[in-house]
Amino acid sequence: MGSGSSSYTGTQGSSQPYAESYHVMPDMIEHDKHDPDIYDPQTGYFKNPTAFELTAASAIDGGFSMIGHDDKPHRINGRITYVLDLAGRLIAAKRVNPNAAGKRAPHPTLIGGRNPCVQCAGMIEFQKGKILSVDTVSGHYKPAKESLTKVMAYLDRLYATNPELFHSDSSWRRNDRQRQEH
Amino acid sequence: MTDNDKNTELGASFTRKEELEKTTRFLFDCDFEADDFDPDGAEIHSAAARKMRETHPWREVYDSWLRYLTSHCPTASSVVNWENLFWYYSGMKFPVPNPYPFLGYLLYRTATPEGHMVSEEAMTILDSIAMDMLERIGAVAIDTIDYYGANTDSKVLASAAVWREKLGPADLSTNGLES
Repeated sequence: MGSGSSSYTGTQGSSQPYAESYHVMPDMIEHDKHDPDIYDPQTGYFKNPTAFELTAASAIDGGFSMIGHDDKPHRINGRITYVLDLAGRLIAAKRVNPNAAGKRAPHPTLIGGRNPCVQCAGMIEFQKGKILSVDTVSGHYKPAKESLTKVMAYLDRLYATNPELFHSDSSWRRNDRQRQEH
Repeated sequence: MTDNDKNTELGASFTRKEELEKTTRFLFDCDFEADDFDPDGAEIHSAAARKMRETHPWREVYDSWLRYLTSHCPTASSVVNWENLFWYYSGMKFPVPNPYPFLGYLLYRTATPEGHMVSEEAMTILDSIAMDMLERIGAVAIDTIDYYGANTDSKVLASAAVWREKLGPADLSTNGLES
């Protein structure tokens, strides 16, 4: 099972073989254990306080927002981290590390714990609160590209619930327009 | 080519540049956070940016947008606003072969000399722009991206220091947009 297998060490820069779920890459967790701003010896990875579940219910006025330094909601604009957890929830969060201003919060902090397991992980791109694209860019999990199909299935269901949450240039809206044209 | 032809060509070139600058002002004279900015179904700025990118060489568009940044954004909050619009208009997709001077300028305008960002929003948008542009040139890879921060990137910091030396301390105020 992915990085849970003791015989597989992986290759720097490449993704892991496909697995139903992935533990944190051994070299990454070893690195993080030396950083108390990321990993606590007793409790493991801290839980990112900005982590939220990406659902239609968490959207406001046709888009996704996060509370800013001024305590007001701001439309998400940029790339943020996500994981698809074992329960099938899509969790996203800002990369800001609350323990150290100069550091970032890596993917395992979206769940927290000693060695959190995920079905997929990467970055999700937003423009003005709307989902534009998603990928598998995660150094901590390096999921196989095939795992992205589970994330796409989740987002397909979200799109069916509320297409307005997706950017007009996203593959979901473009495919819809093409279907309508035919 | 006659003198008349040369003058006509110069005139057309001047007109094209004026139109480019006019469109850039239309795109960036906006408050990204305003409720009435590009509402759903009426994304006129996004459409104008797309048309601009499709009808002009990317270098001309990029340079025009940067001219706006360096001459119409006096404070950190106005730079963050510009960054959000730059991202919204997909400026990070421009194939800039060496983005460090650009990223260094953005950091110089939105962080202290020690690299402390003026806000989380400033951090998120600059990181997003930097990761996209640096991935494209192979400067950031999957093994390092999880920890990547523009304000701790030694090359971006070095570039910011050069800008600070050249232009003096930046106005890091974040009290809303100022023209």
